[in-house]
Amino acid sequence: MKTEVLRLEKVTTKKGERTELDACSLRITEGSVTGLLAVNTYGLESLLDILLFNLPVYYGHVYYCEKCINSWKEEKRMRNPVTLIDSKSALAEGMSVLDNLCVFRPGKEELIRKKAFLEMTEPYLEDLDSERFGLRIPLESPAEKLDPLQSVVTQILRAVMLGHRLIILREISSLLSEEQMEVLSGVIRHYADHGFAFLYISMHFEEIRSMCTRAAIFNNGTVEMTADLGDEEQRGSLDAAIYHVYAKSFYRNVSGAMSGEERPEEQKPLLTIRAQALPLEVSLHKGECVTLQFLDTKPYQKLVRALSRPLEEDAVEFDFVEEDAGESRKRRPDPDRLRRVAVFSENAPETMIFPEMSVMDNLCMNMDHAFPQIWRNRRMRAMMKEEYIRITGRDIFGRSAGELTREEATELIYMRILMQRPKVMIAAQPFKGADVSLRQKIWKLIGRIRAEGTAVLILTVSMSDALTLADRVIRIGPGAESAEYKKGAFSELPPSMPWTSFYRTRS
Amino acid sequence: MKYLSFRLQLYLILLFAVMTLLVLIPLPHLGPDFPGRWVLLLAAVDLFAVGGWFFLIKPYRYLASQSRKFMEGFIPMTDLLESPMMYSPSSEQTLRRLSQLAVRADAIDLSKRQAQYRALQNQINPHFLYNTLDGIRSEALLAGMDSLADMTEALASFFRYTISRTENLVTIEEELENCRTYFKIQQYRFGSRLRLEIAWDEEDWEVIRKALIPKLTLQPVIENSIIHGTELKIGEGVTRIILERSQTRTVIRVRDNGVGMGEEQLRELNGKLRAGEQEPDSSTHGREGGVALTNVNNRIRLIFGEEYGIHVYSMLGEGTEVEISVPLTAPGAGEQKP
Repeated sequence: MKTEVLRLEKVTTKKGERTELDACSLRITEGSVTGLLAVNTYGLESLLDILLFNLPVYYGHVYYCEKCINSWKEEKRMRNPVTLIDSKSALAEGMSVLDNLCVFRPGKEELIRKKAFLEMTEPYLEDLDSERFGLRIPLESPAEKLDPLQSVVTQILRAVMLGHRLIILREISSLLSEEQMEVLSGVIRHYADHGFAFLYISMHFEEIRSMCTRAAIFNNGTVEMTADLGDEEQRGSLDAAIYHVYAKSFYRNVSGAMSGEERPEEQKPLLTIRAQALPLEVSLHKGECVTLQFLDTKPYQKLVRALSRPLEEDAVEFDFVEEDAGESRKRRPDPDRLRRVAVFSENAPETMIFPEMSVMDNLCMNMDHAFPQIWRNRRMRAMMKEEYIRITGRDIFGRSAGELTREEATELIYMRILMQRPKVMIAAQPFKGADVSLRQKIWKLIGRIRAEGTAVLILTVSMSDALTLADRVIRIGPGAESAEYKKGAFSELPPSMPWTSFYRTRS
Repeated sequence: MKYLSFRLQLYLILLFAVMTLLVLIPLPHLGPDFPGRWVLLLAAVDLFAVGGWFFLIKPYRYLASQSRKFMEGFIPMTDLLESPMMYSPSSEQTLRRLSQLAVRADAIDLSKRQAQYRALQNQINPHFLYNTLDGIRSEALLAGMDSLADMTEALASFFRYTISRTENLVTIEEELENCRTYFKIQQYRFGSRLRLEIAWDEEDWEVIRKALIPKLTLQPVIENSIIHGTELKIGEGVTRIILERSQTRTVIRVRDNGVGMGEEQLRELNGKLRAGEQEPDSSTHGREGGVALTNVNNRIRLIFGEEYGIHVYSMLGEGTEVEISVPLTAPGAGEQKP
């Protein structure tokens, strides 16, 4: 007999007149790792609100450990014993790992007793035996010094100590490298064997297939299908369903592009990018897409940090070959040269949009070097608006940028880059947090940017759909050692990586 | 106080009385310059505002939300009648009268169906039917037509279970046996194209097999899965019954690899199951697939309560899963509901 840790029974929620969750049913039993494949993110926040905070439901029942904790008949506004772990660490900064693990436990008299804390933590650490996973949890270290894997495992450990039977992991793969994901998978399996249940939310079925025992497809605010992944027939049926129903058009487009021949060898690259912090040197040709996959998060973070400080000593250097011919290489790039480089940062919809400005202002903000008249010339702006609507198929200009959805904001940033026509675009984890529909749009927009002759450099930890765009993949290890794969050798990439099966089948 | 109209009357009387007292009654002991009257007035206004919120506005909002849910089909009329609040005695009487009329219409419909059913039963005397089927079986055996004999035997068993047994609840084991019989009959029609698999956890089987469910819960779902799922599919159709239990529930999943259904159809069907809609008239309704499921769902909800019933998962082209959830009613298996 398996205890049901969570049961959602026909849960319906509304925000105003809009139905968010629509007769959503989900069953999670103890010891299971359920993957929730979010085909789109509609209703996902409501689902998390219900699971974590017991917000009122319009209809339906919610059961936790077989007890009704929420229903349309009765409101019980209290936090549920459920832990959510996502890309933003929930550990308190400035406090040690030990404090983070113990302070939130009931029993305030032990707040300042380190020895008691250690005694309290010891059995849990012994049980986990993190060394066998090649993982060390430094109890004395401040929480902010932990690497992403240590942080995630510490949060799981805290949930276990708090007695939370359900642990939700949301899009963790964008934080962790492949190796770290394997370690995490071991830790999850360990606690699942102890009766804890996990809900693993992801946009990629490949991840769910490798991490979970059960899968549920979440689309437009409801769970449409579930399957036991241990059962080959059900897994195959789910695989086919995902392809047929949700990803068919995407798959067709992507596979068409992937089938293309390898780029012919070009003599002269467009530019060379050097990052002394790693060290790293990558040459890019016109319209080429190179994906840098980091097998460890530290070099990735170093590079992203170096990119965000373009005028400092350890900044990333960009040598544009043709334009620099005959010139002595400038060690530090001047701001004008940086106009030729566009960066799409990791959380671009939050960090690259100015919410208080209009959509048009957001779109035109980097255009003054190409069109100095842009702010005075209304006709030029009208033309840009027309072009925007033609490419994206939607008119968002009547609203302020703060009102845009994540999808619209992402499109706006890519369109800004497209109109800016840089020589090179660097995109950090461009598919992070994107559902299937947004992934398709991003894929098309990056393709369009490349078609304009812009070279694209994708920096990523989790490959997601990056392989579908790449002409070359460079995998960078923890010590910055690298291995390069050209398109012809993509079939040699690890099978767990999304889309590699396409190349293996072809070869 | 149950009625909002009474609350409103009381509130207005109190408001009028307190305000009159505060304005008209002299307060000489406070002195002529004392601004106490205004302070008291302000306090009274605050008190009435807060009281009004809890005494009138909050209950009104609750009632409005219940009415909206009823109008949108989320809750039945009985829930509206059991509500701890009402607008007024006359509105309650109106509702009760409407409910009686609705129940009467249902009762007339039900008695009509029962009469039809009894008429059918009388027309076909069950014993006459079984004897005839046994006769056919014997003839078939004598003629060496074993498959016809088997088929007749299966048909006789199926009728015996569906017509003769009158109890509402049966054990899962009995229901499964009837499903196997039904499947056997269907296999004569579809041949090796149909396959039935039944799976359970060995350690739970003793409890699951004795668990009670409404009679004819599984067979209509399986029939539905064959007719609307696997029959329309090219290739082998597999129907799988997965039996699971928790501390308080029995969960039966009937899964097929048939043609499935699209997002809109699924949403509509689950909406009907959620609202506990009455069975539509199959003669005027094109998709009878939903009829069997809503019928079974309604029976489960009537017997065990609205927190149990059926939920459907499906994807176009890939199959359907019907999840039946009922309370675990086997003896000695934890808490028993209801």
